[in-house]
Amino acid sequence: MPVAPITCTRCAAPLPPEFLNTDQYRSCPKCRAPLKLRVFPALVNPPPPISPGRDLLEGGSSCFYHPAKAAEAICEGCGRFLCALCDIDFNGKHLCSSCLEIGKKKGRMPNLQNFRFRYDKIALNLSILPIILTVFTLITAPIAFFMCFYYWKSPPSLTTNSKSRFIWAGIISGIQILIWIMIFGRMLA
Amino acid sequence: MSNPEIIYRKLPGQALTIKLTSSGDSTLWLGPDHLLWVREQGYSEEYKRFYFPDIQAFVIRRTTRRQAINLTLAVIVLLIFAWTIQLGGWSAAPIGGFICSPFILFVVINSLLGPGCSFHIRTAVQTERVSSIVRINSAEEIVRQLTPRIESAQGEVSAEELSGLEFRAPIQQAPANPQIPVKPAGSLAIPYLFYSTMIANGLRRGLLHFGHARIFGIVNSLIFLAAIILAIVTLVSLHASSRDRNLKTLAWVSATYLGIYAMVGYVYTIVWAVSNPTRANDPWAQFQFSAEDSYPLAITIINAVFSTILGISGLLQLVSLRPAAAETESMSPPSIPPSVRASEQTIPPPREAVPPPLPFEPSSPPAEDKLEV
Repeated sequence: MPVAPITCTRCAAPLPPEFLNTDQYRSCPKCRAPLKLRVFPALVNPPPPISPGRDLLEGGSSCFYHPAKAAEAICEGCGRFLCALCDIDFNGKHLCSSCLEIGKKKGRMPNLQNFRFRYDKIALNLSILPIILTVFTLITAPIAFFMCFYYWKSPPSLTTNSKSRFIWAGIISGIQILIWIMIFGRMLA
Repeated sequence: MSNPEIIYRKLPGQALTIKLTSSGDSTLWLGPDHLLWVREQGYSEEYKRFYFPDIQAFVIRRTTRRQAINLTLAVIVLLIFAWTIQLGGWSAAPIGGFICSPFILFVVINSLLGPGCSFHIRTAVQTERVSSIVRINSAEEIVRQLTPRIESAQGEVSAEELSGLEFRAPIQQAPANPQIPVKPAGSLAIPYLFYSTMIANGLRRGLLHFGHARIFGIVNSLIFLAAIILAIVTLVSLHASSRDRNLKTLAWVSATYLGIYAMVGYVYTIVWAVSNPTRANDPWAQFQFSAEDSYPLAITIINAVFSTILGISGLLQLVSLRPAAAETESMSPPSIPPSVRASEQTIPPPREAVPPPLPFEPSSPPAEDKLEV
């Protein structure tokens, strides 16, 4: 089956098969940019087209979403019967699109998460950066200290499972708060 | 919420990007069955996954990144040195050397990091440039590490399969929807003029060395005025266009810098004019003072360096945009060379359009408490 051509990443010109899996850099036929390609079987054997599913036969189980289609799998999230069209293969599990959407919304499928907010970075920067303009720490230190506790259970980065930023932010902002308490204490005394 | 138990290992490569740009930092991580590309934007992280069974190809393209950076740094070093000697004489050479030393260090580090490259990952649905991989060494190392993992997921591709591979003709681009307003790319003439003027702005004080004729003073002031006007016009023209965000960011940085410099220069001129009322209208006298006093001298050198850096950076960015702009303007689909198929030398006809999927209307969503994945 013909596949989409691999194109030069500079000029978008299609590259001939001589470029594939060579150890040397070859110049693009159009823009002369040196290119090196490493291709894998997924290029040669693209995934089979999605089957529309078999029609329902007498006495057979039907798809929950398409009553005219025969069930071919059971959703491992909700247990509903699914036809070939509704069956989504996700990490080796059979799921329907609704379960997939709920799993993404609830954050139960880490492989579907594509965004995270870094509260630990905010807390740390909020505790360190205002030190340059000392007086601002009067406001920022309590905020940073509060953030450390309030967002302690918020999910960290996918790549690092560390709370060290929160700990450091708590220590630094805690010290700043203590210093301010001492300053005000002396002023009152 | 429980933390996912996926353990990632960082792969080599991390581009040194300016934090001000929209792109931010990006890194590539290796997971059990996929690659994770993390893009940091301020205090948030965006993730993109490339599963091993889906990866079709890696494309490494050698770029002139290393040479461009070295050339830019060399120009900056020469400019700083020339300005220091011009303004302070040969006795100021050690000061120039001290100011230049970080740039020379960057040149050495940049040379040691190896030649530059762009790294693309292709799957069936996308070809994504991984901006964290900018050096050939990192790209080669990543390909070396990932090839066995991808081959264990997909198998190996034989030479026969590659030689018999048929490439289909590229899909014709659909005509633009007239109902969706599309921002025009806009002309690059004004940004080119602006960044050229920025370089001139960096060098303009040198004009006064040709003599203290009034004409040099007027030209000196006109260049600065032109730079400010062009900065405003460039910002307006780029705002109304669909140009690259980095280009817009650099224009904003340049305009902000000019604004700050104008304010500093204005305050300095007022102070100088008040303290020297008899010579307030003589730019040559002002120049002599700025060459003798340490603070104005520092401001002059900083202006020369920053204006030139911003000007050269802008011009380089504009030059790098030119091929893409040419492609957009022509809008003609790229032609396939006659030797597309290695064995038969023929181009297969384009595939028929895939019929759309069946309509999908779930009657009711499943209960959320039942979902345990």
